[in-house]
Amino acid sequence: MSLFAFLRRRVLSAVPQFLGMTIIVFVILRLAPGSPVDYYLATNPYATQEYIAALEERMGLRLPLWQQYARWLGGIVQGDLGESLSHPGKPVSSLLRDKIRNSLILSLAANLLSVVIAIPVGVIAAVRRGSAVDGLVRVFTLFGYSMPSFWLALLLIQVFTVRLHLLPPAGFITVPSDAAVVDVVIDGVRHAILPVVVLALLGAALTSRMVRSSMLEVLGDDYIRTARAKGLQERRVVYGHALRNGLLPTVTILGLQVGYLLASAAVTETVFAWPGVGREVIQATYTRDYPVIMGITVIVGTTLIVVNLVTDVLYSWLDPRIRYQ
Amino acid sequence: MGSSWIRNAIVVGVAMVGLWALAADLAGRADAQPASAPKLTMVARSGSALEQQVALAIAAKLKEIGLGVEVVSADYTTMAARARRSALSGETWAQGGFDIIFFNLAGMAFEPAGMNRYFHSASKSAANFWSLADPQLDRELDAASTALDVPKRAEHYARAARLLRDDMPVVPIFHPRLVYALRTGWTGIKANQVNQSKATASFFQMKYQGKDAKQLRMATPEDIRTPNALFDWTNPGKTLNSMVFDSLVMLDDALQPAMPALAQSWSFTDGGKTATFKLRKGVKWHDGKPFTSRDVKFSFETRMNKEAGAELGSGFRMVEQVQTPDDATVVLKMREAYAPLLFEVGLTEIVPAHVFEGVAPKELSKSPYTSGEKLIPGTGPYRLVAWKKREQIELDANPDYFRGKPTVGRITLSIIPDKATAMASIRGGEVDVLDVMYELTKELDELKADPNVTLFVYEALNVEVMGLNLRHPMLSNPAVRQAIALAVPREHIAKDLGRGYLTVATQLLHPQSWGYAKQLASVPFDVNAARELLKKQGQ
Amino acid sequence: MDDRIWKRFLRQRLSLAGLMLILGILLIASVSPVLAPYDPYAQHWGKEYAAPGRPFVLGTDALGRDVMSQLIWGARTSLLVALAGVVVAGILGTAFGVAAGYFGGRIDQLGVMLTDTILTVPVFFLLIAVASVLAVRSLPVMAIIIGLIDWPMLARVVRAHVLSLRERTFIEAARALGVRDVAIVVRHILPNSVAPIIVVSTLSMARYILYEAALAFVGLGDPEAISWGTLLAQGRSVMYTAWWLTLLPGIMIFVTVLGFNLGGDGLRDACDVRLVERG
Repeated sequence: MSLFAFLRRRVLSAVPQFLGMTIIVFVILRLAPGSPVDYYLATNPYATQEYIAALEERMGLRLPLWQQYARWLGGIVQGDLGESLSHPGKPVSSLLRDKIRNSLILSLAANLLSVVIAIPVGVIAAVRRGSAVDGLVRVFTLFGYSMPSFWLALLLIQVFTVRLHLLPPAGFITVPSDAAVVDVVIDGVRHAILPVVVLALLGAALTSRMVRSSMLEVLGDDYIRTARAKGLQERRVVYGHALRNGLLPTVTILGLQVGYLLASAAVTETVFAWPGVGREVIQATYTRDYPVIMGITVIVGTTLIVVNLVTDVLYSWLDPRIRYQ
Repeated sequence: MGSSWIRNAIVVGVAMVGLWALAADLAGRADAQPASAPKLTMVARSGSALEQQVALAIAAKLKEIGLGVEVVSADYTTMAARARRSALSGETWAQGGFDIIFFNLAGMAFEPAGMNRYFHSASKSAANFWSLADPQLDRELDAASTALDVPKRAEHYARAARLLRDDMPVVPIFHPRLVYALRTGWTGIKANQVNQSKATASFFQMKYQGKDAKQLRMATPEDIRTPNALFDWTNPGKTLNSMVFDSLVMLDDALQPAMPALAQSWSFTDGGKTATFKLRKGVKWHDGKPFTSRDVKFSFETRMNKEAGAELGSGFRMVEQVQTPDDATVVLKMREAYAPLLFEVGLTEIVPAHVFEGVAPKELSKSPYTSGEKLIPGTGPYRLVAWKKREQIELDANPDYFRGKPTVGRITLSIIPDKATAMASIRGGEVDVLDVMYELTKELDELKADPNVTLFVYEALNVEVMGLNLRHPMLSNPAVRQAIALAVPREHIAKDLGRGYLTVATQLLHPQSWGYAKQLASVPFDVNAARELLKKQGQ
Repeated sequence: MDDRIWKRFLRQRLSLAGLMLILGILLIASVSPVLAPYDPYAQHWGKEYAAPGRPFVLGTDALGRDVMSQLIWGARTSLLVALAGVVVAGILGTAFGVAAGYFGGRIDQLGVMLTDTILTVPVFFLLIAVASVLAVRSLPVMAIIIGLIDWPMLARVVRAHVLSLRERTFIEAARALGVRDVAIVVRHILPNSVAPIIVVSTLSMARYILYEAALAFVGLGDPEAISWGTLLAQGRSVMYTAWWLTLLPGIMIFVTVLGFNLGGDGLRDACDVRLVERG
């Protein structure tokens, strides 16, 4: 199969995934007790019955369920996620634009850092399989993914903010909006350090584990044994041959890691008051802002689909064998 | 071989016992769901740890006197929607309304006229969530609203307080004491007690180490809904409104609406049925346009128009017509004399009419000035310069403010919902002020010990109550309501849960209010009496 | 499980530690009424935020409830949610996995598509969404929902395993003899799929415990349940003056989750189950 054909097949398979995901999100939130107009009822003491009726009409709540879904989906495809309930008149998409950017910043930095940690750690563990170092790495990884992210965050805040006064405890950019660019960047970076570290450690725990096992697999392959038998230096065997092939699957691991970190991000962002989609979704639950909750879930789901797609394609490009499986 | 057998047996044994116990527990929980005894559900705000703790403390006592109760937490929207459903149709928790709901009744603890909103049968489908309809109470409340001298009004309110105590539609629990935490060095904060967040003066005259300050950074737990004062009556909204907008009159230090603001003077004629306001000259909106009587007319009429769905409609119930004979005069024509009129006027921010030119009342809530797409100008000491939703609000001093240039050049409000984060922020010097809305209690021990932090504590004149749904089959019985009131451990809540930062509330009005009924005996905390009372009711 | 797996599992010191942790927590959870020094719901007036000491060994919380008793009962809450969740996920995941792997063809395609789709839904975000709209957030309901959302991972592993089983001679022989499908599944496929199911379930339980704690932590848990996450959330803003409220529940969550991860990991190595990480 050519790369192009694979690409086409893979993209086509993403379409039903996307549809299915939106259906799940829609059904769960729409079948829940309570009505999306509750918020208006609650916050507008003078809302009359006609006002509510008009509102339901406008929001399309009186249509059959499948039509409501179609309308919603049609909106999503055009980048319209509806209107926020807690900020009257505010489209969800414009509300989320900044949050998505902030989450992306956090997520990219954390993913990058975690790969930087995970690859050497995983490789060393694989090369020194069974040694004390390997054991240590195993303990690190197990601790890493057993640690509740919010608890780790609290401990770090305790140490770095309260005891050492080194870093701000939370927030995003706190200098005024007309401050110099340099100050804004420095301020942003200072705020980003702790959340990035928390997420990166969690990600590294997961990823180093997988790097190790994929390296082990490669190290057991025939050609490596051949290389060894030919008397090549162990160093060259490992770093010249095995590493390149062993790291190929890391590409797919990355896809997995992105998803994993996204899930942890919700709580981590909340603890660090990082204005991303994770914190936003938890905030939205406090006011039952349905369009925001649904919008964010769909955005995160779409991100996962796209990341998986990209990593699959990337992997098949790097390692053509996969296309024939 | 032998030892491994024992080992396996232990492992399997523990596992079996554990699983069995858990399964039994689960089955027990599933059984407990359709309760055989009638159950009352108490709902508290999920955002307020204190309210949930108070609910759990009360629930424990109610269980003790033999009432089946459970505590659930709900977000603000859900609670308010349920309150409304009960108000409209008397639905209980199981039907989509509420049985027992925790509520902070604001805006009446000092000026008792606010009681109309919560207890008059005329507002039965509005804020009278408990569906109270007591003709005797209505008569007292009406008489108090139309009487024009204070001692007479106080007498009516004292009688209303007695009626409410005996009928107990809501159980008063505590008056919060409010705390601003400041970085040491900041002075000049001055709080307005009437409404916990109406704190204009406080920021506007603050200084740092005795000097004018460039910037004040405040942390607040909640974002505003909109900067348009017409549509935000939440606490964060009021905080912002008080900085950006003005009303015609202001409340003075004695909490009387007697201080000129946008109105320079006013007079009542026609037996109190006509009020004439002379407006201050030369006031400009932040965008440079002049302030005129048209703005006042627009602000009042929009609030009287139910279609617009704006705040404070009921305060203008008595107003029949708003007239503007010239640019600097506003005349209110009322159906009857209305004693609290100035008070209501003092709470009503004036918004610019010119930015809403040609917008139908129905569409006002969707205007770009409401959504924040465009920044609404005000007349107040601060001008809105940025609103990053759920992140930060930035305000710059208005050098032309009619009461003088503010001493703080810029105010930023950071939205930090998390109390722990906010605590770390003020201790680390990231912010200068923590908003009162954090409901600090135990945390204050720590702030008190920190030399970099100073506390500013004052009485809030509002009251936290437990509202009872009078159309609930059980709660419709006044004896049951009395029993519940007897079982509320107010002292314990104020002293132990509030760590001394709450004061016991025995009636709805605050002891500092002129309407407080000094002679009225309060309902004691008496679990045995409550139990007896319930037993007599035969259930 | 056969004895060789057992031996391989127990040879690993970490796995053994994991097993001990799991059993320890299970023991605490099963005898919590006996073990807890106080009723975890009992409010001791005037003893709010008591520091660890006497008579409250690990201190009290905002309502004067004994922390040690809450930690002990919290084990029950955590395991309950994890266990109930894993039973739901186990039934669904096994059913779909076996059906897809054994019958193949259309059913397989449908199953794979379904699992792939559900796997693209961000689990924790969906949990937050569901928890926020639930009228009553009781523990069993939460557990069931976790299970309903989180079964596809297991389905994938089971499917892969069943696919390999199907090619084995004894299954083919049974088929050739005309044994009915249901009988083959019940008598051969299921008993031989126990290992991967247990491995995945153990690891899933670790995750569910974290989910429950995280939901309670952000205020979306059952307010009347005794939960480590709730305790931790309660203690956050008083981290410095009431450190025991954040430190201790955190340790409990961490240790319990670690136990399940160590155990699940050890089992995986011992059974030599390959978890299909990606499809």
